[in-house]
Amino acid sequence: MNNKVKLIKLIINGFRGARKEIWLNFEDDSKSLVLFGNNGDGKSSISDAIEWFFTDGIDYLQREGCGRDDYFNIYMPPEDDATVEIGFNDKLLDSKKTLKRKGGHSFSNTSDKFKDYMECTSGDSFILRHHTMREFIDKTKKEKLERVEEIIGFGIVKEIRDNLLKAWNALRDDKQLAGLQGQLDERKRDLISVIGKDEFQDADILNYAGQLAKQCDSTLSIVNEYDFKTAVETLGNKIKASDRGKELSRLDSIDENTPKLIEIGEFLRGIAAILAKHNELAKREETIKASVIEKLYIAAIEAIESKLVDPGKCPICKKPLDTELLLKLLTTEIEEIKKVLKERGQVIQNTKSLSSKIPSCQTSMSVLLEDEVKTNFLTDGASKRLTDIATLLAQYEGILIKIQESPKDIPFPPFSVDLQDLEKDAKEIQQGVAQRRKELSQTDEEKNFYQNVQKLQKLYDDFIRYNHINRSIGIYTKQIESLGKIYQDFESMERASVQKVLETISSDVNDLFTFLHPDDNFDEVELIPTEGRGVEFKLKYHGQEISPPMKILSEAHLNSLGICLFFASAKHFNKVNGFLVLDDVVTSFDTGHRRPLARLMSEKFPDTQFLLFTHDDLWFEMLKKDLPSGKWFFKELMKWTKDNGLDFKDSPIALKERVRNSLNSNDIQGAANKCRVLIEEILKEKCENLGVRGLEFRTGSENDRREASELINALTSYLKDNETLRDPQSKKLFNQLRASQLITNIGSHHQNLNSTTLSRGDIETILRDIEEFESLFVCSECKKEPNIKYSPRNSRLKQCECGKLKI
Amino acid sequence: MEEIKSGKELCDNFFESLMKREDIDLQVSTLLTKLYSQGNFTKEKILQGLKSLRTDK
Repeated sequence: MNNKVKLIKLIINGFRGARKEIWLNFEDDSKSLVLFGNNGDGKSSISDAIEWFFTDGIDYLQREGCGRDDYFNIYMPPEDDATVEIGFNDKLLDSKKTLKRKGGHSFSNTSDKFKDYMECTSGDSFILRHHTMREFIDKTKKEKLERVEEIIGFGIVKEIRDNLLKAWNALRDDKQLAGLQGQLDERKRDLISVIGKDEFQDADILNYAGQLAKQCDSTLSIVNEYDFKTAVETLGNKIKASDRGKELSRLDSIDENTPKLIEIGEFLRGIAAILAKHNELAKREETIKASVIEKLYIAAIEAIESKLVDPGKCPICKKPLDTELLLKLLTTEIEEIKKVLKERGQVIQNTKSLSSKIPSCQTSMSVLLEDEVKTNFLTDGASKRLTDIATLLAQYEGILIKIQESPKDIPFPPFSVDLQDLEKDAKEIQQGVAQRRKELSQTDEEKNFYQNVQKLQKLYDDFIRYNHINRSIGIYTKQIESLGKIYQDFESMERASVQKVLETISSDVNDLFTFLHPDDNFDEVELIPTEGRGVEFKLKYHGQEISPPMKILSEAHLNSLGICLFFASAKHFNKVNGFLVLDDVVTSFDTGHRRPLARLMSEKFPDTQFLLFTHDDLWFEMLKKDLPSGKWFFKELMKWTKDNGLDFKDSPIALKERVRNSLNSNDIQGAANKCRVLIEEILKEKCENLGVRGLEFRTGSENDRREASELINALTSYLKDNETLRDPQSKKLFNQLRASQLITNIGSHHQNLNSTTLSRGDIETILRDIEEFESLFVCSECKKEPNIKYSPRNSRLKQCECGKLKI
Repeated sequence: MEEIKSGKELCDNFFESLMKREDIDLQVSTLLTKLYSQGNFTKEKILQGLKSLRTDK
């Protein structure tokens, strides 16, 4: 873990709460940080900046509908970009990320090494926030599994599995396959009608074709598909050899298709009826919603019946209600929905059946609309009617597809073809064909020959088409079976892998949870797979098995479980980064479990760099004592202001540096403001060092609320009581500081008043006053300030380390 | 502790072993393995590839 990537520095500018540049120096050994700040002071802006740097988003904000525009500090100049810069323990990874106003972002580090690093960390989970730590516990079993898969980098596994399943389902529901199945049935019916057998093999068809061919030409024999083809070609050529033969053949074809005109008319009327039924269903809004709502209602019933929700509460919103009554209502609703779905199912079934008949109708229409038929056997009116029927057929084909695709309304004019007209047209055609046959005056022998040849040709066409369709369906079936096997094997492999991961995580979660709660009689905490696709926590409490844990665990215990899972997953799956951000998670803990958490971080994760944010001042003070100062440092946030944004309370040394920086950039106002804070910090430091009464009982955050005047008065009072630093020179320096404090106070609060505008010279004078004042408290020998920690217990005066200076 | 395989390692191993499976249509397993290795393992690409196989036959 020592080689993992950690933070050395973090600089944020214009991002979220950070209006001006703020920086955190973790030092070369990547110290862990405890950051104290009151709610609203901007702690989360720091975790937001880190999250955005690595993931390009801020998850909890995105879920609330916030986007990249909300990442800019709202009080910064509208044209400025925002930046987050991170320095790492591997300097080659250092990079500044810029959020651009004009859109997009950029990294200053464009090396392949940095790109590889960012890619490797893409699945890492390294930020835990107060409001997200319980998220996992509160998820459904299915969501828990998805989250575990996300944590362990199974995103790609889920993606592959989902795509396999989608492809498998889509292939099974392929409309082309359904169409092929319909065509196959139709060809089968045609073949059965010719050979007179309900079930048949290829040999039955070939045998029948052989007999038919012999009636036409005794030299022909059919034992295989090739013979069949040769016989059909031979007989066809014979017919083509004579004009009369050709015409008779055409007349046969017209004769065969003419009766279908009536069937087509009825067929179209059938489609129109289905369309009307479909549109009637579409008017009922519940038809559209039924399938979705049914699933929701069924899930709710399951949740209530399997007691996944507390009795007396709504399974969705958790508000109190009569669950028995809800069950009854849901059951009634589902029955109603099923009725609607049944009607829709019937419409789809009828639609599929009609769809399969369209190709043969289109074939018949194309024969009847041939020029020869139009010219010789149809009136202009009949010709137009048949053309309209062909157009309507094509339009209805599209409508049948639409009906299957969506339950929504399909506007289309009502069916208005008069079937009696069609009957009349068919009769006219048949009479014309009969008249023409008479004119051609064929013999009975010729008639039989032509009919048999025509029958053989049709049988051949049907046989070839049937076999072709059958082969196509066979290929589909093989692909469906293969995809199904692959999907099932993939899912099994995934389950086995997840199981292994669960066992590994469980071991650590148990270890961490029992560490945090040694006396609470918890044991064998584990994540187990559940029926269906899901996982759930299980644990033993006083030896009794409990699952899910919320049955008995308190809020604090559940939060604790959340943090243990976060630590365990980070331990195993954060393979590159060695830092974790805990944003205000500790407030979810009972007071009694806070110190064990501090110990857990030190003992179980000694090589991890923590960034721990809290708004709890007691906890902050406790951590200062409990955590090793060599590995941790402590910072506090100033109160967030519109003008300054997020800012740290700095040590006087750093503050002096910042005052000079402000002067160098001619920001006199900023320098004055920082001087005011500097004076307060110095006074606070002196009071704390000397244990000035009336002040020492306050903890860090409370100290921040003191006014400088209060501090200086308290300090003056202390010195008066102890009769030290009472000489004129010391008094003069105290007065100078008091004046400086007053000037900076006015300067920073009344910047618009010209009379009180400060000059560079004023600031430089104030800095000199501060230095002179501070020198009063430094020993000329040991260079240390008197402090209660160097002084004998209950001594009135406090001494420096060597004891020479006593104040 | 036994190293936990990453999602990518698991998928790599799965598709490697897929080609050796005799109970699965070789053309289908070849297609899926190819799409996976090219980073094109989407529903649309799978269906498109299967359609091509059916047309070619």
